[in-house]
Amino acid sequence: MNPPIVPGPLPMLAQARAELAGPPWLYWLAWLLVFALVFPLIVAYVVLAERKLAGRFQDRIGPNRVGPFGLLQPIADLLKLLTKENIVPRAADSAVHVLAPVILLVSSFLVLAVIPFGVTSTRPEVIPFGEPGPEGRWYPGLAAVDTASGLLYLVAAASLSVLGIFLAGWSSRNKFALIGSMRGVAQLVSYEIPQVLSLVPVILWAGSLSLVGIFNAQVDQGWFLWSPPGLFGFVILTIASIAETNRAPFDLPEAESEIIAGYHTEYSGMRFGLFFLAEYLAIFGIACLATALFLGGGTLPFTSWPLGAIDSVVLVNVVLVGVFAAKVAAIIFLVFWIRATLPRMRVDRLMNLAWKVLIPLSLVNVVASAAWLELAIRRDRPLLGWLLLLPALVLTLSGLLRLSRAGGPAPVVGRAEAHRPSPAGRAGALR
Amino acid sequence: MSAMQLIFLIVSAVGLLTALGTVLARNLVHAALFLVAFFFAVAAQFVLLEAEFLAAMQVLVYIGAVSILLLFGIMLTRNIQGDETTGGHWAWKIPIAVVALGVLGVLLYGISNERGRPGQQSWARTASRPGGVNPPVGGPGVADLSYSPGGRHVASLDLDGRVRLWTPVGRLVASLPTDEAAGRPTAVGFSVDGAIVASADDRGGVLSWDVAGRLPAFSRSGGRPGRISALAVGPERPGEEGGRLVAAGGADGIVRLWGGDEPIEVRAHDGPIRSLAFSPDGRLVTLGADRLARVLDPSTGGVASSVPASPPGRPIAASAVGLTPPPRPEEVSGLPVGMVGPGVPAPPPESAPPQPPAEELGPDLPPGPLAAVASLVSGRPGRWDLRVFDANDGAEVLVAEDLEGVPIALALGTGTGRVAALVAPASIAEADPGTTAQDAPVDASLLVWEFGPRADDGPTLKASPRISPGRAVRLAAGAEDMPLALAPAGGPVAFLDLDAGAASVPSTSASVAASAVADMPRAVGDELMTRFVVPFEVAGLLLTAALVGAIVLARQDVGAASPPIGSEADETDTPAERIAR
Repeated sequence: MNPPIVPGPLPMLAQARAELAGPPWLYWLAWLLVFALVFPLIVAYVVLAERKLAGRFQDRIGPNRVGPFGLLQPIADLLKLLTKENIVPRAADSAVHVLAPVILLVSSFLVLAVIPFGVTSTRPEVIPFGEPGPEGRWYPGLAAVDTASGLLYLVAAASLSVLGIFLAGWSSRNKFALIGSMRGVAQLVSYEIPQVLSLVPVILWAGSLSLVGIFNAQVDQGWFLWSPPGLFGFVILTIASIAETNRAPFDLPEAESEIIAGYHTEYSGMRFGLFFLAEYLAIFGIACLATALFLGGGTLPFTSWPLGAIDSVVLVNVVLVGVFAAKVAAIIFLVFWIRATLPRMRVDRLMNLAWKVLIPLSLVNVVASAAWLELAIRRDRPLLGWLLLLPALVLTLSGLLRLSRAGGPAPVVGRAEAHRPSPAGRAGALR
Repeated sequence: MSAMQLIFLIVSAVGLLTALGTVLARNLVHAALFLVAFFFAVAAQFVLLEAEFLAAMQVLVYIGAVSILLLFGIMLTRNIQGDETTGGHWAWKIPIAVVALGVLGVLLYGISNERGRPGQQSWARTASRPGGVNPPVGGPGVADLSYSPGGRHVASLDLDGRVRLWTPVGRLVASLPTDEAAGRPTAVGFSVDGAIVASADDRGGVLSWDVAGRLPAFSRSGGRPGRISALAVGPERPGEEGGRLVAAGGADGIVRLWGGDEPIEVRAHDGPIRSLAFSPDGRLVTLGADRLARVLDPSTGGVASSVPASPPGRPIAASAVGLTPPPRPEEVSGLPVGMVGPGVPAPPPESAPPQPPAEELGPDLPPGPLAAVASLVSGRPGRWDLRVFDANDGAEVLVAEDLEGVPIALALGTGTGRVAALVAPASIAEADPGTTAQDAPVDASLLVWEFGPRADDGPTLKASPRISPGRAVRLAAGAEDMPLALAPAGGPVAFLDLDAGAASVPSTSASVAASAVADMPRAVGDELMTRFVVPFEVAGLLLTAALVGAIVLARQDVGAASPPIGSEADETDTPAERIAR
């Protein structure tokens, strides 16, 4: 069924494939370089893209002074941040104050370690762990680490960011910072649940916690997005991930109109830059995660085309990484678009959305994904699956939305007093 | 010290220091932070044990949930910034200190004295296996021990009349009953392909089971009655009547060969047959107490070759027969008929171990079958020689002469260039063999040689720490990394692994580190669940209890010291709102 594997069109590139196999220290050095240079560089230009796009959304031009089209703006920003003074408030807990942005940054970096961006071989190999199965099922992924429990590791690494946010706010000795970190912890803990639950369908269908295994399962079965539970899981994951990265409309922990800058109010210079880097790195990380889990990694929709058709690892990776980058860029654009469009949520609505809508919906989604596994994947009746599961999930969503509003609008502090006629006692005192 | 040991020491030191910091920190949030660092150190230990799933779980549950909950709890107290340092009245500290020191004492006693709770295994059983991988297991005493050729199972024939199958990491897989009315079982052996395990009794009967299905396969009897001292099952023979060849070597020197229901009897040796094995090409290698190694042709019953196993006048103290398997054939199809020949091991698919490619095993080793013989030097008690030679032509592969001690047991790794010997000190050679000497523990040590081209320059010697089995001990060696199974008389089976991956040969007892053997992740998981998680849980619970106690004490002190904040504060007032005000 698959077309026969033909040699790469350029013999030179085919040779380069053989040279990809180097000593292990070279492999680690290469990944270290990617983590130390490439990812921060990508993040710097993501920041620039956000500023340009936000400008366009607000009918402005955006930064265009430094370099052609403002392309050197991130470097100017970096120099500015590096040369600014690092101020630690006198009353602050200085050790923890220094530690907090580092924890946050480490958490954002660790997430990226297991994401497969491409493949390291064009021929399927034996699964490196687990039960010895039939040979030739597994494209080894272009990930820094491929562990058997990769997705769990990823969730664990992401959960460290809560600690960084809490410590940043706590150590600053500033009431706004503390309020910001309390908001942040409450929000992150709440949205972690739907985020993790939305990953369950993927684990169920792929039968593996390894992200490379999930990539290979999508090469086999097609993107996980193309199913009702996958669609809902992707949307839940995106919403929860935006909340996890404290982006608008979930940016209450750093709501500048209420609590200055939230948990990083007291940070200046490059320490503030670390928070900035960590936030955008986290956005990049969740975009990579959503791509790897639901959008088939670097594969094109409805085909596994470069895999099995081109024999050159370099050429295949050019296609795969390019497609991966395009998907990541699209998701990041979506995040910016949402930020430019939606106003900030209120605290009670934020919690309502997480606990009354997203968590029950993702639980129902888990059940639906089991049904999809039986109907579409094992019995090959996808049409029946769509007809059954899509209405069920849509009905669940609308029911949950209705239920979450059943109690009427939440009471707002101060509004009742404003409309109520003055109590007798106070009126008497006024007279 | 290897890099891993260095990392282990660093991680352990960090873990201990942070645990101390947790209980000594005066600021609650600092204590919680130290606790987080301690949890991280534990996760790092899990990673060092290659238990990455547990490490991720540790980070997720303990750092991501438990410590966040703790911090959240601290934030809801009035002492939110930790200005009032923790501490309480000394009367409060005494019971806590007593409890903490008591738990510490229990842990230290249990770990260092190798004691567990009543009815449970201790956390650390023997000093020879410091790592957490190979637990000692065992039934009620072992009569014989055998490793499957693929290294996937160890069969022990226990004195309660059962054949037990273990994995090399000590997990009991199956317990197969023998027919005790027929006779007392005396020998156990695997077939060449590892698919069949068989036991023989002291009346000449043989029972066998299918390893994959744990079902009885066939039984053989009708030979000359007598105690069977060695047993071997041949490869599968499709298309021939009678199924597999079964060979049982008796203490009377007669090999009983069953090709069908009725045995052929071959007088192979003058004296008991010590070791017996089928080579993959279907021939039978026997080693007898008459200092001869013979190769028999089962089709004719004749002796194909006969080579001296030890020089004249040197009694054999211990011996072993090992095989070097041929390169694995290409698996052409799923049809068993097409791939099974007399010399081809055909493991059933469900029991096929993840074998390494054949080229790692085959060409650079002597073609085998090999025999290893430890012979005593007569006239000089406490001296012995080791010879490993090809049983076909007597070509010597390894010779080590004039060694000190008394060899008790010998094992030859299948498919590896290694031979292991269990050696007792030379002093027991002169000691008066009393009536109880047979069962008394002997302070023995384990020596391992490497031979063949894989040993770089000359035979390498590895030594293990001293172990104390009885004198009637059985030793079996598995394939590949050569995990060793050791069965002292009346004791449980112990599994040893000398191959710590280090190229150098350390000579001290601390050098032997346990490493994983076959199915590493499951072994580590099992082991951690049974051994390490429990003390760590206790320690973690202890630390958590200490933190909670500290919080309670801090709250009490604050509550006594400061009056309620203001008349405007009502019950719904949260600390955050209070701060905001």
